[in-house]
Amino acid sequence: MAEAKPASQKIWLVSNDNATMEVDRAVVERSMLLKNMLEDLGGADVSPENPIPIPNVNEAVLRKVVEWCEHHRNDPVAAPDDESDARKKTTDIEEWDQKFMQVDQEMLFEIILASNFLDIKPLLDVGCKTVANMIKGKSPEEIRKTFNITNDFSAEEEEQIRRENEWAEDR
Amino acid sequence: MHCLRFLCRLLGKGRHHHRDHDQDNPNAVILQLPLDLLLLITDQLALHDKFLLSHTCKTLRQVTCQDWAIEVSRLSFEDQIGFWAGLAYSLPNRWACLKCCQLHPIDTSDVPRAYWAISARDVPCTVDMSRGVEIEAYSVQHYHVQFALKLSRLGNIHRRYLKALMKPYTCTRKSPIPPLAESYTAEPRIINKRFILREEWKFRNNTSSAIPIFPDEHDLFPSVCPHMDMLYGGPARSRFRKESSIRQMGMRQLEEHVLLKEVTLLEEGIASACESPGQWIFNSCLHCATDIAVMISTDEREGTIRAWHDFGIEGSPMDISWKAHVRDQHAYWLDLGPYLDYPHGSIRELWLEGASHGTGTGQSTLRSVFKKPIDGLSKV
Repeated sequence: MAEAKPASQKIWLVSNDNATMEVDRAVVERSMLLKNMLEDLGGADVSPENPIPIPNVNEAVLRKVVEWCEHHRNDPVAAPDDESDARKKTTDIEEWDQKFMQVDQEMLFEIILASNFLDIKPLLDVGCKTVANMIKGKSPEEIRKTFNITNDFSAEEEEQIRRENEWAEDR
Repeated sequence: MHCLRFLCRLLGKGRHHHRDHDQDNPNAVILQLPLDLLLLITDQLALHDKFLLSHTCKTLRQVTCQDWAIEVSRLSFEDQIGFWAGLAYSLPNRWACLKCCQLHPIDTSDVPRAYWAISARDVPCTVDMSRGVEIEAYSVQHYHVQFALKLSRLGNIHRRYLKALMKPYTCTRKSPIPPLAESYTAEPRIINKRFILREEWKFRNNTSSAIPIFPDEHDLFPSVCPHMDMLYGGPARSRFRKESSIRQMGMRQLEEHVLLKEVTLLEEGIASACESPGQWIFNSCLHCATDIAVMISTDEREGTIRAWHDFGIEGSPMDISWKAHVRDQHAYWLDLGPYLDYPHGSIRELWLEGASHGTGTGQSTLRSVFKKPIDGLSKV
């Protein structure tokens, strides 16, 4: 069994563009992927010379993810199946997280991808809710405009959709 | 070192988590997300938002694909109304009908001051008679509120209709009691994205005779809201009739007293104003978001009743902010409905604060042209 490590123990991470950053173990452990690995393998081998590689995440995104983990380092860890309907259905986001997510779309989606890869469910949740809030209450044209989406329906597909939507017309 | 190499191999597992890029939408970053993440996002959306999202492009149509008619039919009545209201929020030309539980097209001739023309037409679902202001030939309906808020938000569509919806209304008529002149004014405004209606009733004695401004023989006293209206005749007679009705209910004395207070706020306001000419008497409805003020002029020749109603924000006709203003026509007059928790006096204050903000049109420059896949829905 791996020896228990103090929360202030330092862990080094390296982004895919070779930027190394020193982070408290308690902060790193917001990532279930890294937490499980550190528990299974111990953190003794990790050093500034031998940092943990985060191959899918560049420095800018990794710094944002670490910033989020720092802010939420003392949050209670949710149980793996703690996906209550209430949590899923509300798109309310706490104020700090709202400000944190005020980034360009590329960064927003990179954060979502990174949190998914690193298994940081609360951050993934905030990211998905942020995108959902960008969709809510918009017409298709407004959604396209928001996300730079091109309408790629053919004339035949549009006609099919129109037929499918007849039920929604006045009867 | 061995452990770290293992870690590196393990972490490399996620290198290929991007699915193939959407060839038709190379610039849409959202469409480059893997399917499981797109599903996590759409899982956060209400059904109407998913429905609209499904009309944006092929990829999102596949992600949200379902039989919408069946999905909607599975919803509770309230959620179905929510679905239609949610769609109407995004469709400039549609409104959600509570009675038909579906969308109806916009009718730009349908405005609050066209009450008689609208109430006389064949479609029975469009007018909620219970708003109680039909006597003034001015009746704000839920779809008026929703169109005003929506068009104000959208900013660049149906501007003339928005202007017509927000146009103040004045009606001057002869009182059934000949020496008195009456006028009614309604002025809607959008303040902080809320639809606020200010109404004013004026009663004036234009003769040299000393006639009470609020005589008890007068039967056409204003229905300020469904909970503050006169029960036949003027304030004293109305109060007496209400008291008699409550007495017959066999309640305890304290309960009787509380209920009587609750249903005679308007009568009490008028009585207080008569006792203190020149002073505004303020009060608020306990059941719907309505503040009132009553005043008798110092010469006691003019009486004014003002009401400020908050009809809420964009939403469903099932929302309490609207429902509280509408009374079930078949309900007993003492069935007052739920208590709405709002700061009393706040609507009047909001009106005063927003006085310089106009109707709020032009708040948003968002363009909303609902076209292509569900063109049929957007046609008027």
